[in-house]
Amino acid sequence: MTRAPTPPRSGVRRVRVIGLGSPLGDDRVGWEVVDGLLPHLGPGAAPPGIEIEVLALDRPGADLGRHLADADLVVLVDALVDGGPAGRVRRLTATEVAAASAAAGASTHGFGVAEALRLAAALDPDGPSIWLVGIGIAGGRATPEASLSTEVAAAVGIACRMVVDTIRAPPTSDRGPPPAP
Amino acid sequence: MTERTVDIRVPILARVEGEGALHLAIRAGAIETLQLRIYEPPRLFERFLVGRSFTEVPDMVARICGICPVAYQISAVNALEDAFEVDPGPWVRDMRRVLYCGEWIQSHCLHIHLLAAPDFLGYADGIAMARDHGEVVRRGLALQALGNDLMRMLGGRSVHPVGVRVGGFHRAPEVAEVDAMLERLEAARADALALVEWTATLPLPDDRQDFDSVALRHRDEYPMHAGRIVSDRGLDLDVHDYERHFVEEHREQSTALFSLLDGAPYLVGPLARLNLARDQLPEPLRARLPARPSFPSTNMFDSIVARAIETAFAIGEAARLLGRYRRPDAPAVAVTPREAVGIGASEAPRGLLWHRYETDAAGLVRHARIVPPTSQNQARIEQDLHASLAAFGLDHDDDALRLRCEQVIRNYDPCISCATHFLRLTTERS
Repeated sequence: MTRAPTPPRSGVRRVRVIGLGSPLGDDRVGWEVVDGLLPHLGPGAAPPGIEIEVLALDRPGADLGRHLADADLVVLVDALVDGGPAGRVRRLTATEVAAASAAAGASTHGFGVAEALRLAAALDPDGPSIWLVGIGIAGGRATPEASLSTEVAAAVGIACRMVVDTIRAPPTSDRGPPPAP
Repeated sequence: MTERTVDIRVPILARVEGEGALHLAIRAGAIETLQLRIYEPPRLFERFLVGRSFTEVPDMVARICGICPVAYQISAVNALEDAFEVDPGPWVRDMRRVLYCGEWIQSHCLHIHLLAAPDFLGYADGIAMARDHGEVVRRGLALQALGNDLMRMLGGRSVHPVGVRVGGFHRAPEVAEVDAMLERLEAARADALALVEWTATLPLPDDRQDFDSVALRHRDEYPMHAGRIVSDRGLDLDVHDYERHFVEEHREQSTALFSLLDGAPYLVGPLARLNLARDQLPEPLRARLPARPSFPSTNMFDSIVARAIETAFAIGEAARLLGRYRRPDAPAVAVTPREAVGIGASEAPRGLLWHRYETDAAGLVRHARIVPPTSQNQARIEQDLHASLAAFGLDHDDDALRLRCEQVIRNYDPCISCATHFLRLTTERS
């Protein structure tokens, strides 16, 4: 489930938005968010001076690293099982993702997003600025259902706006606290 | 006198099949207790399958393992096509082999770079290794990605693919997709050979042991999607006769079954395959292999080299088969279910995977039996741990003993490999 990237132009900021998920119930929310973003960020709709790729990946594991290359800013969108209410939308730094996943298994993926980000950082310390927009799902909501729960579906629009805000007013560092959405 | 009790525990991890623990008790300089405990999900899946239609089986068994779903799918369709006397033809056979190549490539590369190699280079994990061996890890991840993409081309997706059905596939790739993949496979040949050479330079322990290798053997090609069951002690069986020689037994310390061949442990997996079928590697590949290690090998630690060689083989084999690709009129043949018993086997990345199904006249599963490679290797792992620790020396400190245990276990690439990186050692002395 990958949308073909557009070729980069010199002098433009290259941004990649990656929806992570699986076909399992609320775990697909990352895909739903990037689908919702296409009208705003798709071909011809990106803000001036920014080249945007929008991808949807199915549980990439360690393979996530190759999708981080050659970008200035990467915004990941994923389901979070973090103990918070279903439908809560949070923006996390790459550092926070790593810490949260190690502590509480925040990611719903096997070779987690945290491990993939740490591996990518080890391979390319000067890699892109990375943020994760996470949508809380209830534990056990990665079910065979094809649709989102009501709470999570209601958060898709909020997550879309947070992704757009992150691209238009990018934080200066992905190591510091994120600005309020 | 020193009394040492070692407990190694693996926590339950989401989407990691199996849980395991090792109990090692050393008293008065001798191993008093050494038990490997593994819990394997396939035991539950066998019951889940009962009452389900044969059409559901390939997608259901793909869920047994996140790393080797294709193996479960191919063994299952082999068994069900045996039951229904279906011959899906040469196109399906070729494409199943290509799909299987994708799984071998991704599974072997994951194991080599993120699980096994750090053991031999003194790193805690693949991420730590990546800081000093960036080019090696990047090359490995690129090869793994190629395997994933190959699985995606025929399976629809790389995680729990959905392309396989009894009788063939749900969809045939377009010629343009195949051409693009073929170009990537050809370009990857050099990297795969470089990987083989790199693994051959690793400082692997020299730990020669006496064990039986068991694998499929196919008349015409390196074992993968089908064949007879052979061993280096002269066994040569049709897959239908598996139960005459292979017995699974329950042991108190494990909820998984231990498999024995005529009452003894045995090895399945890449080293066993290479020991038994090195003559079936293509000559151009054989000519490029390093002089050492040589195969057959009795050093279990040569398994990492065997995986690299099979990665190079799988890339070449997929290229060979896709090089003659023609898009068929239909990607599957018709299947008429019947009341029957069917048996099938294939070579998962971790070794022989044997399935048996009984169906009713409508094709509903009445009984299923699945013997995964990790269960088959369980008794062998315990045997290896005994021999390896004795050769290593029990007077080493706890950290050294734990590392050697972990190295031995990871060598088999069991389904618990990911979790064994979190092995915890506690020691009691008196």
